[in-house]
Amino acid sequence: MNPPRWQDSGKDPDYRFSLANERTFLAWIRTALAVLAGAVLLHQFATALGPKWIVTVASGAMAIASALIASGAFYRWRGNEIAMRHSQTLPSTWLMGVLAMFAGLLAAACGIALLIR
Amino acid sequence: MIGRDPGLQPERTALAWVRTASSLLVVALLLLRAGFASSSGSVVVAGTFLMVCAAATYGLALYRQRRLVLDPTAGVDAALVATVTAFSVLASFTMLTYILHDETFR
Repeated sequence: MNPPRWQDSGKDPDYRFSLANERTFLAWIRTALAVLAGAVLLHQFATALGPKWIVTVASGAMAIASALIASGAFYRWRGNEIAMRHSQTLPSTWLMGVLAMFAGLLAAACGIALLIR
Repeated sequence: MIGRDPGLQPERTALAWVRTASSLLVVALLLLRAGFASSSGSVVVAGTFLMVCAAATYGLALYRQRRLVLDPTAGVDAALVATVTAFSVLASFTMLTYILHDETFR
């Protein structure tokens, strides 16, 4: 399959940085999948955790977060590759901040759910 | 560039692929089980398809590893990256479908 135009542009980066970028992408995907596994487990086993709607909303939010992390991972990989090819600084990303915020909100929601019941 | 020792990076990259495939397998199993538990046909079908995707990801890992053995400087095809992303997003949508089904039929 022919590479997309951006993957041919600029200069080939040091392959070790490319491999590191690839592993970073895969780590983000595993993070997304871990969040998704958490969503499934929460929904399946949190039968006594407060009102049902909180569990539903929390696991739904986790599933959506997982999709956002996965797609963000792709664009981050692509953005890094392009930056490396043109000898630019790596772009900043909203991914980490969103993940941290999301984890905090989830913990708070579960805490509230435990208190309400 | 010629003769520069790739070190252990190609090996770590291949392992990263295998770990990602394993994570996808676990999620596929969880969703498949959830589908059976709630008798949701669409989730069972999606879960089965995700199992196939997980198997395919192991295949992609093997392909990538072979490429790296032949040429440690070989960059990853964007198609591979896009495919793994698509698998993960598909798993998310399967979970959302399951939640919807669960809300409707409980």
